Amino acid sequence: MVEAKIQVNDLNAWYGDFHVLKSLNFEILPNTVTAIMGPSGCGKTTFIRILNRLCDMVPEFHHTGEILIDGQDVFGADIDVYELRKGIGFVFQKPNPFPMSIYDNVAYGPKTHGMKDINEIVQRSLEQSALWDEVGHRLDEPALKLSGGQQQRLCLARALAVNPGIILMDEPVAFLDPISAQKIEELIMTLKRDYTIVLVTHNVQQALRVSDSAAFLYLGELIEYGRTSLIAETPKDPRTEAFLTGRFG
Amino acid sequence: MGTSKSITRELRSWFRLPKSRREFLDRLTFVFLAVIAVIITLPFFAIVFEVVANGWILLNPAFILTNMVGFAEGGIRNAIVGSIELVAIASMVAIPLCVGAAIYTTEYAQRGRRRARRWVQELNKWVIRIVEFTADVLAGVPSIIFGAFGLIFFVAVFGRSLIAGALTLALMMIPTILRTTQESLRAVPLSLREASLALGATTWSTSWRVVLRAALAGIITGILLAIGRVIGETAPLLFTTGFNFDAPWGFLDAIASLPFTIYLYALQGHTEIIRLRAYSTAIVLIGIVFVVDVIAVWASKKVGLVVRAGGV
Amino acid sequence: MSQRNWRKILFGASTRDLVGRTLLLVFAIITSFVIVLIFSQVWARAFPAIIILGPELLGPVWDPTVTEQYGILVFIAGTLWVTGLSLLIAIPIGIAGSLFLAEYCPHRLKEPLRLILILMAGIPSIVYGLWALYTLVPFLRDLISPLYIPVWDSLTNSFVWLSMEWYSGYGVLPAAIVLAIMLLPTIVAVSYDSMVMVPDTLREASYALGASRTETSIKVVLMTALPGVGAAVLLSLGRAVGETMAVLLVTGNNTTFPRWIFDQSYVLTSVIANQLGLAVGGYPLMESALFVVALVLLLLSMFFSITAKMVVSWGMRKQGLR
Repeated sequence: MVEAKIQVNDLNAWYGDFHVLKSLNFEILPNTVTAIMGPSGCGKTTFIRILNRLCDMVPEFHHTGEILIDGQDVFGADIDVYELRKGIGFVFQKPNPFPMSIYDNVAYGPKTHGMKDINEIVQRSLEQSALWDEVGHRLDEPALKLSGGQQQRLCLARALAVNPGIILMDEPVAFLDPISAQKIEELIMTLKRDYTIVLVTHNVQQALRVSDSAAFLYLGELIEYGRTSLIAETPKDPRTEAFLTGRFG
Repeated sequence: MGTSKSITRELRSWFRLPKSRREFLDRLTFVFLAVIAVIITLPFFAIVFEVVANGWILLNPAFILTNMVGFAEGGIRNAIVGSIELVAIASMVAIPLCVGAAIYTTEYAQRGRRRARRWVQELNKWVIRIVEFTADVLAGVPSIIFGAFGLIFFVAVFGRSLIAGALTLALMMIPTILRTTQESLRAVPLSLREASLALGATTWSTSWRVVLRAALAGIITGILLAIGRVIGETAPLLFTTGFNFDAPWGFLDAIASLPFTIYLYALQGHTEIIRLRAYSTAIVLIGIVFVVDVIAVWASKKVGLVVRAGGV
Repeated sequence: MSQRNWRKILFGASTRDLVGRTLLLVFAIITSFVIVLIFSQVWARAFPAIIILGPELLGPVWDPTVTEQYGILVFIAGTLWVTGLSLLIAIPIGIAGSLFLAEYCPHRLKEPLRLILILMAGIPSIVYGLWALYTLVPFLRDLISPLYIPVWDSLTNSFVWLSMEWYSGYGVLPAAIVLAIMLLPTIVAVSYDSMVMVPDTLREASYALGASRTETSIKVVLMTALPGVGAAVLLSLGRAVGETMAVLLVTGNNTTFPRWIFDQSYVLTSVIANQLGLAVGGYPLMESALFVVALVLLLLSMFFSITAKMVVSWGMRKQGLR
């Protein structure tokens, strides 16, 4: 049996007094694409940001339970959060390239972690995010001059440059046009061969296209979890069905 | 902002050993920068302490209400009243000028000239650019230059007098009042103007009755800032006001002022009595400036105008 | 087109509107004209000295009343020393301070600290000068004089030209220190504003890549805010050069060239403050030469104002924001 890459055990999370995640229990297998779905405010963005401990930035955040990545609790006392984050790539909802050149954007992570052969890394990462052909000859141009779709692929390349094992994506195509969105979805399918991908989305069709498993969250609770196709065809919970059929979004 | 739970967690994490080079670096940087922040604020406390500790000795109602008698006796009433006179007249000149100019750039040149010919629109754009550019350049001109200009321009006509000093100060107030008034006017939502115009009012009456009223708080804040800045200026007054041991109201009379008085004391030498009198004058001056500044900052928060420590 | 229509198109419907608009336009023109007026007057008064004295103005000796030499080089040197040292002190400390305020400062301390900065900026320069005169100068004199003799004797063997018998406390050093203190609020405030404008999402992107807070503050926040920080530096440069009263009281006002920071100096603003009053009406050539000094100051301040704006534009273009 394949060991879980990410295991969530009885996770509860609060912002101050607000109980945002309630007793989450599930696991994510390696080299799969898992979609985290649910209506706005269900806690899916909070969950994904706990995985790489971006939640630490919010002062009133606290939790109980554990999240095991490769067997180690993300909140463990002897975990170096910076190494943890190096192993987890994050693509944000709105493309956020640094106001630097394309090269400097991709090279930022590797340089910070003292990696060698930066040029090769930059090229490899841009190839992996299908951007090399378009920008390989103009790496010194400001990243902000790229189109929205290109910027998002750049952010993906930037995340890949430090060689993570897991990639988290928070509604990565929400601000993109359909063609760019499609390109990113194709990339996700290719990347899952080498990475474990967790994708937050509120688009059921997208989840069906792209993901192997799906978790449906509602008001902080995990309502259903399993193979995407199974859940989509035969949802067990009426709330899941309501969401899938678009009765709320 | 943090609950007591998160503060204790924060403190506890401080006492854990750093887990990596990065965490150690972060803590080191925090301490280093905090020390620098302390270093930056230290002079403020040192100076205020020095001024207050030395200055309060001579401070009493008599000091404030009596005129100077030479440099070793009397109070500083002439300087206080003189400063008030100077700033009052300077404001009366600068405020209408700047508010009017600002209203022109935001109400007339910027809006509603769509019906006008192309060249008029272009001209208006240039007017705005020129007004703003010249104001920004004027803001950077050293105060002594204003003094030198005042000497050859105003003193030539009026002699060293209240009016010459006041006009010089008025010039210095222009950039501050103009820019803050502009900002306040621009912050007024377009819908207010449109509602007034839709009722058939002209731009003229709309500007004064509606827009100005809405922007008033911000404009007053800007004026207070300019006053706070100008009341402490010495250089523009060095050659333009002369000095007076009394505080007459004649426009052509020489006049004293708080900063000039301090300067004159500083030139008198290092005797104890001179030093104390200088510091007492300084207390009164920074007392007034602080009050004006604090009111301006408080007002700016109510209004949303940005008050920066380097001027606006 | 009829008369009425012309007026309507250009000026709007009512006469009151027209008169009012014209009045305000006049106001706008007046405010714009002030800088032109100042510049032209200064130039006009400086012109005779430029014509009559020419390159003599750049001579090393300023002695208008006795030997009639009008060299302003001493003042330029003095200003360079004082402002150079003050910026050397103020810029690193100011940028570090703004970084602290923007990235590391606990929320509860932010407003009090910013209030202190605003109050610091509000203290009149003459009060800074007073403090420098009565407190800073004696402090430096007492601190450095005892070190002077022993350090001196060993130094003067190798640097005979630096020899001096005692340290008065006046000179480049106290002027630079008090000037640095006066510049700090501006540098911190303007840099802070630029840093705060850096969107949080960029910080998050950096953290998500495993960077620490220090690395993020410097490599992302500071780098992105750099045009604003550069503008802050240039603006402070302008203010440093133009500062009069605080420097006037402690810089010594000695018309010799400063050799190092413990020497006295005479800066451009101080000579105008000290000597213009007596020159006007009595010594026309001296007055004109002093206006050359004023012209130099005016040109420098205009240069820094304009360059500051250009730096911001250039920086934004380089980042791809324009």
